[in-house]
Amino acid sequence: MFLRLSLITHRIFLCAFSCAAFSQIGIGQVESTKFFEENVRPVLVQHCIACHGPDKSEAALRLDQPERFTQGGESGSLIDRQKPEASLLLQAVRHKGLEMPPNKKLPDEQIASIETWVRSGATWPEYVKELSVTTDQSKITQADRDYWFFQPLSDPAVANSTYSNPIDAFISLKLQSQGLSLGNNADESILVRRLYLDLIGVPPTFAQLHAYLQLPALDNQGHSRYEQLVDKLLSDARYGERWGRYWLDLVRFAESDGFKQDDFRPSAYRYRDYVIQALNEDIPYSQFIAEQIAGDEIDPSSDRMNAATGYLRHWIYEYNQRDVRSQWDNILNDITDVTGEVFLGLGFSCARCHDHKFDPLLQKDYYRLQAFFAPIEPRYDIVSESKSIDSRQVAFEAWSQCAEPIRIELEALQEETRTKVIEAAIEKFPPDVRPALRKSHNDRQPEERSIAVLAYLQIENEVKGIDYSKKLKGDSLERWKFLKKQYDELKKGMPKEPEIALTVRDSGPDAPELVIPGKPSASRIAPDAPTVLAQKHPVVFQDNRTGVFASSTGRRTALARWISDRANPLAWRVLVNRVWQHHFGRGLVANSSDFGRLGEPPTHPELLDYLAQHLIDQDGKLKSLHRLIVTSETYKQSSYPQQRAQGHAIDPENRLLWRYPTRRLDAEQIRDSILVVSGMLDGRMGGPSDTGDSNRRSIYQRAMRNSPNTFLASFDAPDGSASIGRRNTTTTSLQSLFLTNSPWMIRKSDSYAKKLISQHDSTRVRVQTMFRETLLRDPTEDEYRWVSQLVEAADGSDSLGAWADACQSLWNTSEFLYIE
Amino acid sequence: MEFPYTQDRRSMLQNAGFGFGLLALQAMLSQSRLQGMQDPASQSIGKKVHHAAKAKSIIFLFMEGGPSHIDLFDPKPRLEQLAGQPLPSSFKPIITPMGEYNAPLMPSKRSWKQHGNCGAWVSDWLPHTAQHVDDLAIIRSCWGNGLNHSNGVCQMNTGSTLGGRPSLGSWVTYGLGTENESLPAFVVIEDDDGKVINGPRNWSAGFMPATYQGTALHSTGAPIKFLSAPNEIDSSRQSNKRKLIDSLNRKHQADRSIDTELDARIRSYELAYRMQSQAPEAVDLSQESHSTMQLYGIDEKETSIFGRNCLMARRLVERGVRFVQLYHGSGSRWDAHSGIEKNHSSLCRASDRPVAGLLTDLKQRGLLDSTLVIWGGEFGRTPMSEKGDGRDHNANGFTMWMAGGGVRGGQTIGSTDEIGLHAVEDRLHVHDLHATILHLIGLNHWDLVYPHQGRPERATQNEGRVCTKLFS
Repeated sequence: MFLRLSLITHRIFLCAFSCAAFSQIGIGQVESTKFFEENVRPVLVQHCIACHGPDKSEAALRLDQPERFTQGGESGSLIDRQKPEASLLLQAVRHKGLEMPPNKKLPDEQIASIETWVRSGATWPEYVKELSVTTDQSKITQADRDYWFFQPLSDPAVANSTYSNPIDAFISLKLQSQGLSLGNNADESILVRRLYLDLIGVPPTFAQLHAYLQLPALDNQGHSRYEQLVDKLLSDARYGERWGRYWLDLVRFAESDGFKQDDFRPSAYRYRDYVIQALNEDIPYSQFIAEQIAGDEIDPSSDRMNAATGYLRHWIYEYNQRDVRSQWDNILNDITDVTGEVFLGLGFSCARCHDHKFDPLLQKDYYRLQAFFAPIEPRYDIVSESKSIDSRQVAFEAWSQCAEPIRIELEALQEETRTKVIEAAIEKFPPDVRPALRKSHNDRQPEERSIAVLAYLQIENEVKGIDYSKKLKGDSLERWKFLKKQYDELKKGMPKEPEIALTVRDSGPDAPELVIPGKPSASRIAPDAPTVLAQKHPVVFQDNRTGVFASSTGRRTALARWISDRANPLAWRVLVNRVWQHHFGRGLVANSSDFGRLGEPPTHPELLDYLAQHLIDQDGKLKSLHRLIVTSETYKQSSYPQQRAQGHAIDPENRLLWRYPTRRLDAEQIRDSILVVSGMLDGRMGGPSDTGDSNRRSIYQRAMRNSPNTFLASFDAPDGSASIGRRNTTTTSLQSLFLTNSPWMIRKSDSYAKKLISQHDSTRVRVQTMFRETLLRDPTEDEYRWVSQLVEAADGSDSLGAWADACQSLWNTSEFLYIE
Repeated sequence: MEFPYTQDRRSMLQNAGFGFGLLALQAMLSQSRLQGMQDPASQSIGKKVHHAAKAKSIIFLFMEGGPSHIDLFDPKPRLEQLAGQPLPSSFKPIITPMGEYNAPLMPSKRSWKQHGNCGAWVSDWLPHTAQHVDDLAIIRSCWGNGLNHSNGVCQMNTGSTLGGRPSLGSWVTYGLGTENESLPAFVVIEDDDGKVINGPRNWSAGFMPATYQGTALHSTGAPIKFLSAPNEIDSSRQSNKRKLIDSLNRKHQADRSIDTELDARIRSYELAYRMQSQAPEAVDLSQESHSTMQLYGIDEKETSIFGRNCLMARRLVERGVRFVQLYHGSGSRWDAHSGIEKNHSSLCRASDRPVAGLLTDLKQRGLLDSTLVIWGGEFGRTPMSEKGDGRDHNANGFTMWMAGGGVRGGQTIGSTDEIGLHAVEDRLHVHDLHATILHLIGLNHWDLVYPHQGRPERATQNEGRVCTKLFS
């Protein structure tokens, strides 16, 4: 049923994306449906059927049904099949003979569309039986408004239960209803490993585990050692490095442009550091949202805000795209899609081209969301660290005392050539873009500004490439050469250019016009909540036009407040579900970035709302939510509880959580774990990313979109092209090849083996140490025998290699690669 | 194993606690049960075609950079008359990336002849391919949305000009699985040291699990990255290591049998081991006869590289690889913005004989019927000149051809306008091409659905129409 339905509806609403303009080209079969949908239906609906439709059928004519259209009205048939040009319909829209619409002629392009349609036979797509006039609100049904996700958070009562943690009450109640119960706790050393990997992304060392197990079960305040460990790990700075990674997946973070050139973005790392810091500071979620979406409107002078608004700069960018208008549209679409998925848990992208087929998201709603971002302009002139300019200023002034006069004279000599190059470069852009490029930035209309910014990135590249020695002549050339040599010499002493932040500003207090593409006659779209929520939860815009808001629209501030409003049910449910998903491998709602009807309903709706309310009550601070979850009996269960036969029979997928799910470590956990157990981890935090596979944590490896880190990519780390709410987890033979043959693995195991050999003499101690450090336990006798046989097989010929093989084998075990 | 594309399978996919790796491996495991069966289609490891189809494999010969259709397959005598003039206003102007808006029209310098029984036009740049026109369906009316190489190559591979979607080879693998589990189902070979624009992103599985991504195969050294350990690690060490991993994992898994994923992990090491022995054999050309080498032009310097790759493609297809993509001119070398004569002469020279050799070889081995061969680039080139003697990008109308795999040869489909700027008749968008390719291999592009973030995703982004002329 589902497939059938979507098949039909998707055939009907073809995406406008690949729509071609075909002026002198006839309409082919394929395109006629598309043409009708995009060019004919809107005209009929908007201009004709109010008078010639179901309500009024003036002149006995109805244009809302194909049969009635063919019948015609009092004046006869509308279409002359023999001589299409003489058709009554064309006479009417041309205002020659008849005049329709009566008061105002249609715009020329709409008349042209009707002409094209009539000439090609005025056929209606087969599936169209009737055009209907609907208002936005009437498109939203009661069932839409009643959909669970749009309801306010319920305040579910915690059932009476023997468990003190409310999570356990909810989970065990549901288990009981299926004849199941919570399983026994995991062995404590398993639990400690689980907790370390889960909260900070690396396993404990054997010494840490040992020290933990020596602690008294309860301290003198009655806190268990487990609770103390939870607190310790939550305040460990590595927590931000672990949980920040999930956020980077969501916002499709990367440090390069993508596309052909894939240029490096030198300051992108500051966004990564911001996320890590924000999580470690445990700032309220409302603040986290606001800083990323509208940090520049909070405090444009703040370095932190300029890093946080990197959120609005993670789009891919093509350095030589002449069609700058389409490129900017794609950028805004990308920001809109990501924002909808990340913060609101709704797949907006379907609604880019048509009303969403399954969820109450209208095409208009897509552009209402986009309208919040339409005013932004990417900036290339704001420094990452404001103090870096202050300290540079003095040195720079001293330097420019000598350099400035030379620079001025050089520029005067270059001016004419430069102007010519710029003019020629402008001519390379599509004609409709050029006028904006010839204006000063202040004179540009709001909708021209970002497009001009993108075009000038290309123009400046051309200017940078000018070889003046080939353009200048005679005395000017000689003088230029003389000065250039001096200047180049001086430039070596110039204080280093400050790093530029990856940030945005609104292009001014006035927003550009935004209309739905392909529907130019439709009215301007204003920013607003999706129609289904707009009445209950309207967006509140501020009237204040002073301070920051004298030069910024304030739209994004309004959006951030709307998203994090306590009464808005979307964002809080989405966030707690993401946290739950990362603790248990699966969310209470399975599709963590789409809570719409195409996803699945929550397995535990009351628990979802309870946790969302809990988070709101804790001011949106995540650490309290983590604490609640990881101290639950649900979390502490064994993966292989005693009654597993029963659980497996009743709920084989463990959706009700009768055991803790076994999970493969993700890419970063595997790589970081190997670095930790081999003792090679370089724990320095933050700063520019590393190239060449350093020993710092994986989150600090440079993330280039077109050349991802081989290790991380082979274990399903995302490439930064789209928002990822939940990674795929694959098991492939290529992973096995990587873990057994790659130079990286061989290097790490070689150096670990060297250390092992130099520190311990006997085979028994070496094997024991290896097991303790990697698997946090002693080997069994069987295991000891297997390893010692492997080592002895080398028989002194390559003892180091054999030991390296042995420890590499341990890093290849499921026991190492999985959390249980 | 469930049948694909039913509601059951879909919900199973969404419910599976461990995602798709598990599925793929379970699918592979079930092969052993299927191998005794006679019907070759049922060996496709738990997956099945939507309709009967002749093609079992695809070889996509990707001429990267954009070969000029008006100098190879689509002669335009009108250009002779308009030579030196700007684009007449009767033609809708296009955006040209290099922005030479008033560049004069430039006729082709080629000499043209009709070939074969069908009389298809091919220029003197491709004399060997020309001998096969009775097996080719030449499509002159392709069009796409890629203005530049990056988005053009991305669209020809994934349907979208923007990154992030699965490659066509991934869709085919997702739909049909593999027929040889010891080799990757989707293989990519770049020629020479060239690096294809966008890199491995072109053969990535996008939002699908990496199980479906393309694997780059190298003609020298280890055919697959990390296939073997460095030379100093001898085979007995390798085998000891493999046995130790296996023993440790089996012991660990013994009392954890409810997690089938752990079993899948053990199998992944076995598969890797099998791949280590089979992949080198698949690309080992030393077993080929001298006459075969000659057929592909491996005996000549100019044609030896692409000749080897084409021959490898045949060997892979013989061994059940589903989708082989060969890049020719990796790194946009077909991109003749200037000096098209020199540029295309040498690239045609390097690729023509190998391509023709591949067609001959497939045919004489009876493999052409079950192998769909596709030739083309990310776009064509403009009738307007650039820099005097080159041509700019043109995605508004260009030529590709297909052969074998159920394609009716000896026909020319569609047309461009009289100067080759826009496709006019039987316009085939990249989505239409993809829909048609999927159809030829037995998949219906409407029914091939992958659920992602709650959306039903399709290879053709809910567009595309199968071009039935190609095979009827």
